[in-house]
Amino acid sequence: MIRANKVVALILLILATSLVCFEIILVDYGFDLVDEGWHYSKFTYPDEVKASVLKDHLYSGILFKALNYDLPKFRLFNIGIMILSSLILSIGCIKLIEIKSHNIENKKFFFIVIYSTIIIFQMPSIWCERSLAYNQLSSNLSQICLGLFLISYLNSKNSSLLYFLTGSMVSFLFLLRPPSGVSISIILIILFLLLDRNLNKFIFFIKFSIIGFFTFLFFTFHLLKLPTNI
Amino acid sequence: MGMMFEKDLYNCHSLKTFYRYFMEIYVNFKFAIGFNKFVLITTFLFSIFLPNRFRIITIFSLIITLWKFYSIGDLNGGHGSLEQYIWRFYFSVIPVILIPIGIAFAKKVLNLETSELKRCIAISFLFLLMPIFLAFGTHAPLTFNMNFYACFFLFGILFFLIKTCSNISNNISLFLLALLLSIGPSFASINGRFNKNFYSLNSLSSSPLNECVNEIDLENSRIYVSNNLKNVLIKLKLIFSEINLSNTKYCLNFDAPGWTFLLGLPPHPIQPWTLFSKGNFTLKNLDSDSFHRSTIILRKGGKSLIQIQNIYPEFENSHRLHGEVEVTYDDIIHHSIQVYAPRNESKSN
Repeated sequence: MIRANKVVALILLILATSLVCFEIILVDYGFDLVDEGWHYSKFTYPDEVKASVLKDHLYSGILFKALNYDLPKFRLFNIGIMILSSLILSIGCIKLIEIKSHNIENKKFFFIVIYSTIIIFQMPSIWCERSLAYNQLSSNLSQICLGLFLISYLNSKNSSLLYFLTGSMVSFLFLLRPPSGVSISIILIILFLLLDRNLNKFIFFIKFSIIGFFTFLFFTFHLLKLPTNI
Repeated sequence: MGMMFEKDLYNCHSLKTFYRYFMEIYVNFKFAIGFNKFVLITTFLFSIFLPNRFRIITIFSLIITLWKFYSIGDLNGGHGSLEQYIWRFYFSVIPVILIPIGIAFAKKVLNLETSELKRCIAISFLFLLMPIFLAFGTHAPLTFNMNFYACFFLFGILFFLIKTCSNISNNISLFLLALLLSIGPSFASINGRFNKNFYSLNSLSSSPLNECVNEIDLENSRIYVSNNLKNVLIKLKLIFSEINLSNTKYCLNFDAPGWTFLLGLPPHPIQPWTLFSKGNFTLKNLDSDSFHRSTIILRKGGKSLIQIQNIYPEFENSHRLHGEVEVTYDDIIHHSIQVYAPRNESKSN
């Protein structure tokens, strides 16, 4: 049975890898004149964006400039971030499964199944938006927030640092897509209460998350400069 | 200024937005159950008589569900499928999994401490609902934006299975279910990329991959686009080469902002989709000097020209039509793109 499990896990890994490879091969094909074009214009001239509460032009503008305004490389970076955020979420998900749980016989292959399926389910979003604009960033940050939270929940040694990072990422999400920022905050609190009703642990979580949240806001509004000013 | 823009939109967020979101979820869920009713009834009957075989029943039900939704094109990828219909398949998976496991619990084939079961169900449903909550706030169809958070939906299903079915994490059935669930989005991604058009609301850039064979050079890179798009870009570049751009400020582009990027021109600072704005937000918030020093790309016969004339009645005096490009598909003229430039910025002047 274990051998059959391994075969299925490998099929899923090959499927996920193939999908990612196809998308990487096609990074220099096609161009959307509407949304994508608007995003690239914003990222090329971020200091001209004056009518938006969203801050994606700021971060993606810095990245786009760092990549020397190379459009295929920018699309490639988007795929890279998706893979990385899916990895963080997968680690968190494995931690969540392990809570009060039965022993997983072959953890490595079980992780492959979770990670591969998460990537596969995220692939249609790359068809919807190929640039690293607010929707993709929000998608990736939601995964990172939840993954970091679940890792920190079960990591007693460095939980303060991980809660701090979770708070920072929630703050980042607030700046990029405020409705998603509100949603993820509520989701994290509900999830915490479902997992643990320990008041001291909850206060500890809230305290470090809030510090992380405001640290990131301070970093964005006081330290970060528009790419054209760097 | 961002919130002012929001207030000025025709589709400004209000209770109507929540109603729209609810209706989108409701109709898709209703279809997911209604279309799959025979599979669900059969699953129910088999589960009643063979509660011990809930894993096999779930796998077979999922295979038939997958086939049914594939046969009506919900998993084909591309426009339509990934904007909405793929979620009908995702939603249909919920009852397919809940029925056999629910009956197995009712018949005491599966046992779990009540408090633990409640917690697992609550966490699973929180994950299942995450795509809806996280996609909130969009002006686009909710199901389109839910694609960005689809992995949470998947994990909700897997978590429910792992926690409720004892030792399923070491069982082949969980691995097979994960594989079956992955077939839908995998096929949608591959087919959507290779056999369907690229995502775009502009028909000129919404072309299939096999038509993207023409290379265009950007500032530091090159991309492949369709013949139609390249031809229009070349003609637009030619028109702009006749304009003295040194004194112009922005390129106002109300219908397809991508041209501004491809031409390497600075975009205007407000929002490109002025037509969504009931009060001409873009034009009202652009100072007169910037407007008079900007080039304009317009779709001929579109509403943007009327909106410009409403705010700047002297528009015809301040700007001159510099050129017009016909957009053709199969040698039939689809529409024309007009380029206006400030009267004193023509190289010939």
